[in-house]
Amino acid sequence: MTLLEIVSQHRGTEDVFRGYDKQAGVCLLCEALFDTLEEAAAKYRLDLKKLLADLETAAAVRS
Amino acid sequence: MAEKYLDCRGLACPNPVLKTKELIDQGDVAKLTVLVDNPAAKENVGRFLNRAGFEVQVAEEAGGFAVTGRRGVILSGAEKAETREQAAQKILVLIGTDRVGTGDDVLGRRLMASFVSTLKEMGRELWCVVLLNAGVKLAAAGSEILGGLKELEKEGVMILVCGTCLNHFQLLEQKQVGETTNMLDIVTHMQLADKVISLT
Repeated sequence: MTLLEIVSQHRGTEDVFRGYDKQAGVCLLCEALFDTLEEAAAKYRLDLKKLLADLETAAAVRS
Repeated sequence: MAEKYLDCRGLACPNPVLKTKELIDQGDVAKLTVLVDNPAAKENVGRFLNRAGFEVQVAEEAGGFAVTGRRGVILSGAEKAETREQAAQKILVLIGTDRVGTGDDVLGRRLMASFVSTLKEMGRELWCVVLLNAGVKLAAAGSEILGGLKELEKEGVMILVCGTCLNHFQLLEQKQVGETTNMLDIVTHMQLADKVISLT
């Protein structure tokens, strides 16, 4: 799934992505909106497993 | 078909794209102008509209940009894709190599070029092409098959390119056609297809 698909289906995940902006060094939702999560994590050297867990938590809280 | 107008100035990413998506999802949009006030929003809204089958034009306006998308009379990529969805059966072709067969690599690459250029003979039943492992090289800059893949994509065939494989071959930045995707997407599309043809 792309970041756009994730954030459009689970609006609560927007804050999670913003929380990773500093670590990525860019605004993820600006620069990687059409990337898959895996692609964005690889590109910006993010911990995919942790990011996925944070997103799942945020999505579960809002659903 | 209606003409719509959306003022997204002052909104941070991804909200301009999300609002644009919401409007398009409502349907009946022939022309849409989205006002944004930052380059990232301009790029992302333009890219989204393009993917949704609109012809996109950008104009600078006071303190921002007007991104305008128009649907042409000619079927857009999205509309062509829709006709493929309605075909008698949906065929997915999975390509996990950059050459066909073993014995002679030069011949194998020529056969692959021939295979891809002949795929269109499947007509509108050809729904999706998935590129995996060395198959992703076919979608990268320098591939002799790029033209054939771009033609298929233009005709509404979905081209899915494995992101892990692009990353492995360090080709993420060289990809010229198709949508970078992950294994979940690939497996889901295989499940949705009526027939899967595998070339590995």
